[in-house]
Order: sequence, then C-alpha cells, then structure tokens
Amino acid sequence: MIYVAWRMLVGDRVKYVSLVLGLAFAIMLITQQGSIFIGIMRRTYSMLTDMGAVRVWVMDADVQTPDDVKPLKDPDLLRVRSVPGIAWAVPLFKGQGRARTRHGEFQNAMVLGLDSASLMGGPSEMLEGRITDLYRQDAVIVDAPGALRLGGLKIGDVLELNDRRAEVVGICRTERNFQSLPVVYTTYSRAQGFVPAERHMLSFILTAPQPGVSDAELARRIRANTGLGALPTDEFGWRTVRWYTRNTGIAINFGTTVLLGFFVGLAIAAQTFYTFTHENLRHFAALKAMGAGDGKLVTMVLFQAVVSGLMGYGIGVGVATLFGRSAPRGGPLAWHTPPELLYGAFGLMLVLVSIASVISLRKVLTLEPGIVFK
Amino acid sequence: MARSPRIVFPALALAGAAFAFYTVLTAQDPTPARPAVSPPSNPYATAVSGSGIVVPPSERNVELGAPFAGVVTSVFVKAGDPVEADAPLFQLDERPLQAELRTREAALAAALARRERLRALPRPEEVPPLVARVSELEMTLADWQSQVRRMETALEKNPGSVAGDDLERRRWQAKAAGQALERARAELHLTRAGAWAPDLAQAEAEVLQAEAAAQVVRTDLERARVRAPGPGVVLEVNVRVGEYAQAGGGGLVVFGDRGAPLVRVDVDEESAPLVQGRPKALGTLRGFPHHRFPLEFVRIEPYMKPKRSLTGDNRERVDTRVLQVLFRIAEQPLPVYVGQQMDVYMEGPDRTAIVEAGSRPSTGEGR
Repeated sequence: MIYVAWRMLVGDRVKYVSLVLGLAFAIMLITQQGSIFIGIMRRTYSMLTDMGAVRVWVMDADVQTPDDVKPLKDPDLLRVRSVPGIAWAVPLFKGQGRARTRHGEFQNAMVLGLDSASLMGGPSEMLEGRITDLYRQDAVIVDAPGALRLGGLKIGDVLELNDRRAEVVGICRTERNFQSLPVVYTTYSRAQGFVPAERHMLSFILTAPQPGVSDAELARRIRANTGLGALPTDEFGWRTVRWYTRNTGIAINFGTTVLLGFFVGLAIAAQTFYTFTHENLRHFAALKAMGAGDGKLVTMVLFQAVVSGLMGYGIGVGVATLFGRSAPRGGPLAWHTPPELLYGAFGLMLVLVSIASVISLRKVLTLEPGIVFK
Repeated sequence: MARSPRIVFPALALAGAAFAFYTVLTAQDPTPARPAVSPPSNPYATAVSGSGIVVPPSERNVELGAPFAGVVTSVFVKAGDPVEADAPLFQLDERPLQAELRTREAALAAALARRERLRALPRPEEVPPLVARVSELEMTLADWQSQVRRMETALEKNPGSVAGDDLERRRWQAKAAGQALERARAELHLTRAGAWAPDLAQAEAEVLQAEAAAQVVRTDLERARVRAPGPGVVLEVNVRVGEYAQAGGGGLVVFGDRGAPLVRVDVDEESAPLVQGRPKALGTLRGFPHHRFPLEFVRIEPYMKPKRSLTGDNRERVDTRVLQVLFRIAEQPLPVYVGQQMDVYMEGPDRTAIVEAGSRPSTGEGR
C-alpha cells in the first residue's frame, strides 16, 4: 500500500517536482531568513563571542548591551578580585575613537583596551602579526574589514587616534560587530590616550571562576558581594538580544519575513498537494472500491505528505546552508545557523505538510467509491 | 530519464540535509584566544585583592634638596650608585662663602689683636717719663718747702727781714707743687696698672663674637656639600653641574636605603574589614603571574587615605578611600624595583559568610 502511495506520488512528474520544490522553497526561505536574523542578532554581542575565554562579565548593574557602557571605578576591579571563587579578573576598556589614516580618511572605530599584562580578550585569529606585538610602543591591532575600510592598512602603517600616533602591528579576524565599525585593539593603559578623555575607563571586568565554581554561581557571588552587575557570557548575550528585540524593529521585520516564507510555502504546498490529491481521487476511489478502509487511505495521504515534506526539507536546508556557507566568516553577510534553527524548520515543515494533508484528507474521506465508474 | 526525479529528489534531499546538519553541527564559535599571559589568579580559597607599589625599606624615598640656593658645581654620584653614610652627593658653589669667610676671619684677627694690645699694657716706654716726672715734681716740692722753711727761720730771727706777702706766696707754691706731685704719682700708678679688667672682658667677648661669625660661614661651607643621610642607593639624580638649585623643596637627589624592599598595598575601603590579623600574602608582578613573591606582613596603616589613581589623569575625582597594608618582600624570584606595581592577594575571610552573618535577625529588629 505504501508502495502504491509512492508510485502515486512520483507518477505525475510535473506535480511531484512542483510539490517538492514548493516545499523546498518554503523551507529554504525560513532557514535563510532565520539564519540572517540570528546572524544579525549575534552581531549585537559579537564582542562576547570574540572573547570566548571570558566566562563572567562584570559591569554596571544597568548595562543592557555591550555597546552601551557605564564605566566602573578602578577600585571595583580589586573588589571583584576579592570575591571568593574567582580565578582571575582583568579590566577591559571599550570606547569609540576617530581613526584617521595617513591619507586623511577618517572613520569612527571601536577601541578595545585589553589588560596590559595579559592581553585577555584579544583577537582569537591573527591574519598578520602576533598578538604579543601589542606590548610594543603605540601598537594597535585592527580587524580585517576595518583595515580595509581604513584604506587597506598593512602592518607598519600609522594611524592617528585622538591626535596620538598608533602603529598597526597586526591584522586580525573577528566577528563583525553590529555597527560594522573597525575594531582597534590596544592595551588598557594606552587606550585612554586613543579616545577623548573620560574620567573612568573601566568599561568591563572580565572574569572566570575557579575550577568547581559554575559561571552562574560566580556571577551571583559577584552581584551579592559588590553590588555590580555580573552575568555569565551567554546570559549577557541573551540580555543583549532581548534588548534589541524590545527596542529595535529588527525582530518584527525579520519575523514577518520568516512568517511570509512560511505562508508562501504553506500556500504552494497546500495548493499543490490539494490539486495532487484531487487529481488522484480516482485512484483513491478505486482503492476504496477494492475494499481499502479509511485508515489505509489516511496513511497513504500522510505518507505522501511526509515524504514530500522530507524531500523539500532536505533540499531546502541544503540550499540555504550552501548559500550561508559561501559567505565568508567575518564578511558582510550576517549568517548564523544554529542546530535549533534546523530543528525548528523541521517542525515547521511537519506543521506545513499536516495542514496541507488535512485539507486534502477531507476530500479523500468523503469520497464515494462510485465515482470510479462515472 | 523518466525515473530521474524519483531518484534525484530523495538523493538531493538526503545530501542537502546531511550537508546542512554537518555544516551546522560542526560549525563552532571561534576558539577563544588564549591570553598572551594568563592574568594573576587568586592563590587562596578566600582572599582580599589589592594593588601594591614597591617602596624602599624605610617606606619613603628620601628626597634631598639644597640647604640654600646656589649654583651646583659638582655632582659626585649617578643614579644607581650605592653610597655610604656621609658620602658627598653634590656640591654647591662655595666661592661667595669663601670670600665671606675671609672677611670674618680678618675681623677675628682684628679682635684678637685688640685683645692682645690690652693684655700687653702697660707699654714699658710709657713708665720712665712718668717716673721722671714724679722725681722732678718731688724736687720742685722740696725746693719750695725749703724756701718756705728758710723764710720762716729768717722771720723768727728778724721780723721784717722778709715781706709777709712773699712768704705767703711761697707757701702756696709749695702746696701746688705737692698737688702736682700727687697727680704725677696717680698717673704713674694708672699707667703701671695696665688694661682695665672690664675693657679686657669686652675685648675677649669681641674675639668670641668674631670666632662665632667665622664658624657660621664654615658651617655653611660644610652644608654646601650635600651628603648621604645614611648608607643606601641613589635612586634619582635630578641636578646637573651648572644648574641653579633653589633652596627648599627636595628631589634634587632621591635617595633610598638598602635592604628588602616593602610593598605598600591599597585595599579598597569596601574590602578593608576583611584584612584581619597578620594576613598571609602573595604578590605578582604585572605580566608574570607565575612568579609569586612571598610577602611578610609589616603593619596596617591606621589612617585610610584617599585612593591615588594610577591612571595618571589628574582630573580623576577621588571618591574612595583605601586601607594601606605594608608587607616586606621576603623573596624575589624576579628583580623588583622601587616604584614598581604589584598585584597582591591577601588571605582573608569569606566576605559572603560575614555579610550574611550580619543580616541574621539576631543582630537587631528587622524593619
């Protein structure tokens, strides 16, 4: 009986192709838009992703996103270091400065001041140069897209940052940030010269727990002991995403596109499947006349729906992933496909094909076996 | 051909799904960068963290200045020189003092001469004329007296042989001669007595005064050569030959003493109560987290100071106070220098436990 259903499905090539491709298109649209949405959201906390060695972020209790910073006071670092269960704590400065190249182009840039001794939080992947070159006088490391935007910087080029000389000693690859600003890495002590003077420099304190203490527990202890804000890295990321979801239109705009993909896919699939079932009614009637029960017929329809759905799903996610994978990491395309998105798309596919099959089943179940003889 | 979509689609679907899942599941976040040097970590179960600065064993550097303003003529040391106590460090121009000294010494010589002159009185040559004068006057007196006697004798024998008036005149002459002799004798006595004692005392005092005045200049000459206050090391030399050194204000030569350096640790006021007893402590130098410096407790400064910011921005507002704890650096796995910064962990009680113990209702009425 299943074999009959399969033969019915592939029997009409045009319908078979349009059914599978319609479903594939819907799934591709959902996966692709979802990936871009997640990719953009990830950029809002790209700094957290880059600094993966940091387990708990300490900041002012009201900081919502890594881009909106209220600096702490210097002694707060000592207070945080004194919290039991902490392995280490280093300062991080984050600010914006204007970088000007030799040729006169200028560009706002994100200046990250790393702990001068440990360089904790530095770029994970150096394209040119070494991170330890930051110990050198006036040294900065620029991310690759930023170097391009600043007129194709190379090692040894000199930038002007807040009227100071800064020498490029390395090019690194980082996650793109939300504003696509060039990222300039330097040391904490040097960073204060590279941005207009601020009274407090301590944007974040980067910490990690001692073995045996969980990130969440350390964050709780820091909050309890110091009254500062402290979040494990992933929670800070989620807080950022929630803030952007609430305060910007990104979620709504992408949400509608994903929904649109779902409805377009649903419309195509439901319509094609309905037509397909409708045109195969004669065969169903014949089966019914031969004594096949309703259960058999339902199984057949569901089988056809699920099989075409599976094929559409496979092709859809395959094409979408191929598309996403062709975009280079750190490039302009914001693309991130978490496994959860693939599972979600699978769920949506099931919803899609069940709706389509429910519409078609009505016809099959109310079928009069007699029409076969008409 | 007719079968192709039947085969192709499932195959495509399988391949697509496999590719998608493979790509997504193997995709990882970028491997976090290992820090170039791992940051200093807490060596104790519960600890108080502080930032320290290395200070010389006497806790403060000695900033030597010039005792008076003047041009520097020699500098005898350079930074880093070990010196003994009283070793000369630099020399101020002493020519004006030398000139002054010569004046003062001349005044002393004058005072001495004056005193010697008084002591040498009477001048021997002055006495014989006076003695002769006395003899002369004695003779004059004797002459007048003999004339008077002779006239009286003649008058007794033959009154009227002598004019009474004449005799009277000679008597007065004899008296006057007696007075003159008295005076000459007194003068001889005065001369023979020599200098008057109070005059001598005054001359003596003037000599002492002149000596003292000269000594003042000699002391200044001594002060013009600035010397080390004790055995130690020259940390800074901020003066060059030819510069005009102002009086007051130090720092021309910065001097530190020898011995195991101390580290002065700032503890934030919110952690200050956790520094209890004589805490054990370990320090690390910036950038060398694995070289731990064992520290010996010295003392806690009983007065909390405003936090001195190390960012160097002088507009930074001081809004917190720090407790300072002194430790002696017991061992030096790496060379340390006075003025260097050090991250310090002190063993201390668990803050959470203390805070929570304080919040129990037994401590007072809840609101």
